[in-house]
Amino acid sequence: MDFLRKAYRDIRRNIWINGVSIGIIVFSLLIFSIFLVVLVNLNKLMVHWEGKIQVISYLQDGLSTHEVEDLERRILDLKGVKSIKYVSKADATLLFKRFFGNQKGILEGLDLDILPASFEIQLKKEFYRGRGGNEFVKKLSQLKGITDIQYGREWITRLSTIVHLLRWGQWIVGGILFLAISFIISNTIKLSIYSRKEEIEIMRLVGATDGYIKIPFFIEGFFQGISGATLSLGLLFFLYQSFLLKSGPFIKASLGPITFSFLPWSSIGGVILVGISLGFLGSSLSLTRFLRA
Amino acid sequence: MIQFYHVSKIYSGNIHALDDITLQVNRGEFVFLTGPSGAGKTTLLKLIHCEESPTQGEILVNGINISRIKHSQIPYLRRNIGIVFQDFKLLKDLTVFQNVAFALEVTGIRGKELKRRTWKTLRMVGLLEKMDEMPLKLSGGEQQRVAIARALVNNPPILLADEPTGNLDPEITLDIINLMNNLNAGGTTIIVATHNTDLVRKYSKMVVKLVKGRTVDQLHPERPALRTEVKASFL
Repeated sequence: MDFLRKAYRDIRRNIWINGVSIGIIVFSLLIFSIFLVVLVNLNKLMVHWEGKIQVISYLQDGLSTHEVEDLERRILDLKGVKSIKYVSKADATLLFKRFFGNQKGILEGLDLDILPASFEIQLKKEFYRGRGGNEFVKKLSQLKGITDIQYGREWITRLSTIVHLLRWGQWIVGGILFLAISFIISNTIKLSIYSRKEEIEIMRLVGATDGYIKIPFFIEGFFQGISGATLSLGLLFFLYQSFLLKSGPFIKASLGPITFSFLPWSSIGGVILVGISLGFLGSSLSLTRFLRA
Repeated sequence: MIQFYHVSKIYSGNIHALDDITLQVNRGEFVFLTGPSGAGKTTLLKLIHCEESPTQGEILVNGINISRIKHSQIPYLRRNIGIVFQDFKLLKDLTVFQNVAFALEVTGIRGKELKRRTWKTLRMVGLLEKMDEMPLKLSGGEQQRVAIARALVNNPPILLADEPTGNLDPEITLDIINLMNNLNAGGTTIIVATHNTDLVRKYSKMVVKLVKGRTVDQLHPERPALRTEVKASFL
């Protein structure tokens, strides 16, 4: 209680400095958490798309049922296949017709027999990224009876690269902000220390331990960190509610079936933890320097 | 109680503050540490109080070798050594009571025990009726009494005073030294650094004279012949 009272007194004594410090923390953590929200949603989108992607291998015309079954077995023997579905020429025609259901006129006079039979192959997740997918397609193309392969991996790779870059960017920006914030907090605490310089000197003379002297400042740093983090999350939620959700149609168009979501609880906890550790780091930076002097 | 064995203190820039000091202060002794400004009086007190560590030599306080003490142990040692300064070092925004109680608070004493001990110490220095005053409303002598009360509230066996009467007029100076004398009669070991030679002459106490960081003489009250000699040659 004593420590809390002292910390409270110091915060009141340096109310403006504390306010500015908290403001800067709010702003910096807000930038960081905006990155987080974008990443969380891009990741979600990627996982969704990955599930949709399949390798379509078109078959040579005129294969016998036996040959098709044999081919299916050999594809299943390849590494990375999650599921396989045979689409016969008749199925393909049916699908095509269903697709153009409203505009049957287009199909009139067309010989739908030209549509080839195919296998729709779903790959295991780990085969979408990295080399696995390419190797699979290479092996698949070597199989007899397959004429053409359609594989939508390229743009998944591109998306994954973007997400990857963003993730790196987030850590780089995060790291710079982390250093900057701990520097700011350390300076605020330093001002607090100087405003109590005399008192600390006397504390040391009458036998106060370093811990006893430090705790109120740690509480001050903790207060700055946690209130900065909470306010920044609150602001982010406000932005999310008022801006992102209201611009729904646009977001919906770009995200497809995915709903744009706020940070998961784990990330919220993470941001608060980052705030708290910033507070501690900032205060211990200036305290260690001061007490060793 | 306090022993120095060939202690030297050299500050950066090769400033020799103390040079090969060997000294013994027994339990219950009252010592005047004299010498001109820059002789090393303050440095010697700082060494006892662990604000500085010796460059060479060993210092024992209460049988503990403080030249090798761990940083974390220093606060506990300081609770056994009260210290007062010329400029009192009182906190201006705390009352007399709070200034004295402050030294108990940092050791974790609270509540009734804190009040009881603070009152008792304030009564001892004759300031109980002024306990709710702010320090700046008190006279210099009274402020120094508050500082002494703060130094004593933890019942330390040793009291160090660095020019405690430097800012006080002669009458009040005697008042303060008499107070210390009474404390000494109660068993507290006291070391007073002062360049006030009149003061040293008035009391028959052990005198350690420092000049340029060296002890030029140590004189005991039980050897009055030497004291006369000191008066003639140093004071």
